[in-house]
Amino acid sequence: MNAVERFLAPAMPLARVAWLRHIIYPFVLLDVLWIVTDPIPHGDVPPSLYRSLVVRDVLHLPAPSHAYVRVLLGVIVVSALVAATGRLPRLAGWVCAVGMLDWVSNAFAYSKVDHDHFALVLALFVLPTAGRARVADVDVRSQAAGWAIRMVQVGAVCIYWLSASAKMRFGGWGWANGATLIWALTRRPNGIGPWVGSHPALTHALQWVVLVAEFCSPVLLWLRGRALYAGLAFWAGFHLSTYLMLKIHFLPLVVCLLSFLPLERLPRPARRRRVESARPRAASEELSSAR
Amino acid sequence: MTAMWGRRGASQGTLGPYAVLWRLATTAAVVTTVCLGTWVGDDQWWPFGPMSQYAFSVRNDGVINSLTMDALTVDGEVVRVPLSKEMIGIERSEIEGQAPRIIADPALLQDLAVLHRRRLPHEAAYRTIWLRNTSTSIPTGNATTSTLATWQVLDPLDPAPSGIPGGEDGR
Repeated sequence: MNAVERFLAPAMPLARVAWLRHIIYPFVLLDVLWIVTDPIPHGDVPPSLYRSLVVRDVLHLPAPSHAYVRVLLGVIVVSALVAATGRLPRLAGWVCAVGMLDWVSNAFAYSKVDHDHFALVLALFVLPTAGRARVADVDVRSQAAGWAIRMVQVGAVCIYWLSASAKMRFGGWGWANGATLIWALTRRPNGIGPWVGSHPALTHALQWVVLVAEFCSPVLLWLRGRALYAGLAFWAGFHLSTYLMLKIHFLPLVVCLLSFLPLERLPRPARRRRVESARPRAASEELSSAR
Repeated sequence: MTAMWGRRGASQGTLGPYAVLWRLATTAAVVTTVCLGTWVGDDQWWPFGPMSQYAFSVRNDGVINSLTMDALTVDGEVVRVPLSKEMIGIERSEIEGQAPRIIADPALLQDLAVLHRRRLPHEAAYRTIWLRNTSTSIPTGNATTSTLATWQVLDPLDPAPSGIPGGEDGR
């Protein structure tokens, strides 16, 4: 049990949670305003084409309507703005999490489900559990922070590893030698995509690389230092190349990969540092390096 | 919920046994559910649904199917229905997912006419809508197009929704 606890709830700097909130909640704004924008037009789609999802039925979320989706957008934007500042981390965080569950499930309730949002939705539900966190809390380590960070990492790894599993379930063991990439490049040609698609041997090699990397992805949870950075750089390159060839970016997953990085080492904003250094020494119980 | 701190104000925040227990139980439940979602579940399990984008296999000598929708407007012009969230408000991939329903009951295309009037009222209204499929052979590149469903829109200038149930009832 102790080994499991150390692995899944290690004591990690609260500052990393604070940084993740400063990154993930602004990303939520980007997501609802630029990436997953389907829910607004879905508010005008007649209900016959609404297929729902089990999670929406269980939570009694209604079929989207013109006004409903606009109110929901407002709730998400306000909660994400508050949560991004680090204030009301639980209240604002969970309102944002439930709002995004409604928003993204709306987008996927019309017969097209993507799997790029699993880690992000998971992150939105676990980040509030760490409670208050400041970027100054570099030396304040907490298991609550460690568990939240680990869950985001596990969510990202689940997407990769289960993508490989799904290829075996739906595509079979011959997937890597098939024409799935050519199919995708034909339907969504972009940049060098058509050139790649005209070289079947190259597409097979790329499919093998992706399949092997996806199956090996759980090692990210154990890697440290340069090996970890190399693994993350590989996946960043993978997502960049799918964007260049297919205009598919998987940004909601990419932003969660940042949880693997020692964000707590980032320089703190200058204004905040000045305010803290001006504080009398006796007024702070933090370690000196946290100021 | 609240982290049980071992030494408040010190550098280490240690969780109490129950705080650890619910966290580990949550991890186990989430990981188990998402694994089952991919191994035996379907899209209805979202957010735990199968990570199945691009997971299907395409034969090297196979065909690539691509759905399109065309419409005859009240002005007598045949136009391509702009299937995107920015334009008509529903994506081609969403229509592809519902294609079996539309082929079984073309009256669903009435709701595409309704959506078009709501979202793009400045465009000429649709009188007839066709759901079509273009099959492209991978080895030869030859493409053939066939019509899968046809619908004469009822009251094209002010179409009423079909009233066909969606959601659970229509599943």
